[in-house]
Amino acid sequence: MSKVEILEDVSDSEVQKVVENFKRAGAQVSTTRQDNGLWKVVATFPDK
Amino acid sequence: MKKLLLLFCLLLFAAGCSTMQGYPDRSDNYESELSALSEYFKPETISECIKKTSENEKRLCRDNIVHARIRAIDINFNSFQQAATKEHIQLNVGFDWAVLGLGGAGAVIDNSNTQAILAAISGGLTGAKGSIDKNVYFEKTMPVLLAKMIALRKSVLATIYKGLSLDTTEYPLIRALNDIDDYYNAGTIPGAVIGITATSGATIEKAEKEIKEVLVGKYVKTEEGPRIETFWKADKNNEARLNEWISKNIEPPFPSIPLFIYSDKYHQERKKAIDELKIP
Repeated sequence: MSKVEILEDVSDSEVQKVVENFKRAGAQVSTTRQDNGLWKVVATFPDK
Repeated sequence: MKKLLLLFCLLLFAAGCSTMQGYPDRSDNYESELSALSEYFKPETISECIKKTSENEKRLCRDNIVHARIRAIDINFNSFQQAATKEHIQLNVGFDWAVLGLGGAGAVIDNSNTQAILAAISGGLTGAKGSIDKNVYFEKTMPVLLAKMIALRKSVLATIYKGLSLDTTEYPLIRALNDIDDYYNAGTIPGAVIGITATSGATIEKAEKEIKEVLVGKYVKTEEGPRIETFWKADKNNEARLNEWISKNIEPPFPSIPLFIYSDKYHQERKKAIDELKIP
């Protein structure tokens, strides 16, 4: 069963570290710039 | 799926149900509260996105269009849900379509509570044709349909987000827009009825379990976060201990360690984990 986690309002200074940590946890990660200038991080964990 | 939806539309007209507002507003209605998102519904925005040459630009505009449309659909769905709860939907005429859908559902669903509700509503609607008991409809039927809509929407949303984690050759904008249509349809009454009738009793429980999980949180910077992060990365055993602690102390679906560290949803749990796991 695949699981998707979404983390909103991540700042420029933190987004890289957040992405790396999700990847370390085994997720595929994408980022999107929000209208407020912050980032949305979408982490998809593979089917178990 | 689209043919079935078309069939339901025809049934609605055949039954003279043109005044019943069974759908949330479409997201391309450009209502005032959605005006900020209207840019993402323009054909030229899609055309421009498709013409982008670099993968980064293609991906960024694909993601922005998809997120904007999801947001617009969510706004309309939430309004619809509130209106349904408050019985603001207009009900003026026949319910043949509902009898068709709900009667079929009652026949194939094993879950006794759901089956009983659907069968009772179907029977009630048949008997009361012409003098519909709106209270029965809203109090019994709508919660079942809304629950199904929410489950279906969640499942489609997981598919979309999974697609957005891929590059645009694997998950192009056009495919994403098709999934967005599925997301909209999942939040309609016919979509929910079809979802129920298409799910046999033997498989409904399995389907519920297989609904993909979507966890959403807002980033927060805390004093506990870096401590847990350091603990997590220091030792593989710590990772196992953290995951075990999360599985025993947080309601499923369980967050990953990063989401646990960063999300605004786990303030108290982070403090408790630090205390119980004696994280320095």
